[in-house]
Amino acid sequence: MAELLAKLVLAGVTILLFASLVQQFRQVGPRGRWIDALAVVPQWKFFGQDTVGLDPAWSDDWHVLARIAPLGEAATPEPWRLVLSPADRTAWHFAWNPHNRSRAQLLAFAERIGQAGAGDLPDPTGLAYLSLLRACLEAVPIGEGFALQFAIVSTRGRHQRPVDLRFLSLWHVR
Amino acid sequence: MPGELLLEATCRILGAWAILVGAGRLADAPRWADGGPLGRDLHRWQRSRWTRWQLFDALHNSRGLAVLGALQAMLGLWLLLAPRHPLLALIALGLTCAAQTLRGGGDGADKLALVVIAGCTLQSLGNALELPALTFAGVLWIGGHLTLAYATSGYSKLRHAVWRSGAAMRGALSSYAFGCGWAARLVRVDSAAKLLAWAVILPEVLFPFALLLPPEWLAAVLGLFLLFHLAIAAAMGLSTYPLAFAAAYPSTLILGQWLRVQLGIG
Repeated sequence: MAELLAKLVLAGVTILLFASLVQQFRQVGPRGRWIDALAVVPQWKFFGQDTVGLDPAWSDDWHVLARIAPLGEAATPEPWRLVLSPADRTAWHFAWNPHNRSRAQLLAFAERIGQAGAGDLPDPTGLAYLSLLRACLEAVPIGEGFALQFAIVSTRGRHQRPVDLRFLSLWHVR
Repeated sequence: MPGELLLEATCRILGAWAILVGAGRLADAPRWADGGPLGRDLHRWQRSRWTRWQLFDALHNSRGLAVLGALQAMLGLWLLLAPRHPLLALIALGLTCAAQTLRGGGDGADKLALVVIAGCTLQSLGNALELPALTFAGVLWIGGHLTLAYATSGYSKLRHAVWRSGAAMRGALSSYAFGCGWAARLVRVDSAAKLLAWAVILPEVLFPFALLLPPEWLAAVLGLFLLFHLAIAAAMGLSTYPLAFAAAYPSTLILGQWLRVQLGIG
């Protein structure tokens, strides 16, 4: 009986491996995302995603900036401050890079909003927008009588870095 | 007997991975606190998936993530120091990793580690119950997925002109997100970028054939792949990838030997 069960498990593993092989050539839908992430039927790409071939902006760096201004129509905003950016790594990050996940998650939110484009205003109550707003409020605290606005910009490469404004948020008060 | 030694080696490497990842999650946990940019309260407010389950809500706040990270590091220590009795540690580690994965923010190394944990669990269960089919199921799961991972990521690069020309390699290594200063300087020259791209694509695409090589040669090929992952870790700051991939190598060695025997070339 145990041997039969073991053989059934082996058959199941073989079937799942074949399913994974098929999965490599398909788009992962919302349902498949969890099966992929839990490595039941995973998809392996490692920089071979279709976006790499189709979209020249796939390797753009995304940055989040914030500025504050006193409330009132004639108020001049203060200069932009960099809140979030894919910082240059040190040799130490080779072995220890614990904040990689949280930083990557926030920058993925910035990319999601920035890629939607200026014409497609994101939901200001959405998870991505609120997460970035909180990150900005944490980095640039505002008091009474002040408002905060954030921007998402992208750059490409290191040598010639034209800054491309991709999104400008609403003004927010506490 | 060599299979058991290789399973011990897998457990030790997996243990090192779990310590690194667990300690990292523990250090990063405050950034996921309620009221912060990645706070669980935002998910609750949005009624995101998994927030309706109290268990996940408890596990996915910053305290839960810290506990999961600490547990992961301790289980890693167990696997590193006592790899002969790994079964309970492997099951618990699998559960902690799955719980973290459902929070989001996982990467390819987490996915491969989950594959290795599942395969190792099957192997150690098979060894304990003396069921060779179960042991082999674990070997096939890990070795099969490593082969798939290399071959399909190589193939998916090969079919894109931007990869074949070296432009994708330059784009990645010149960015701040995926690259670093020395790597960006390296790919400034077109021919260097192209050479580097093909040095990644070809070994990945051809990896399945390496399974047919004698064990010493396959071990050497896997050693080169480990160097490749170390270079990626240095350039991209992906510190957990080398250990996750290295943990899959012992089973791949066994799978290669099995294939050679089946094909009559062993």
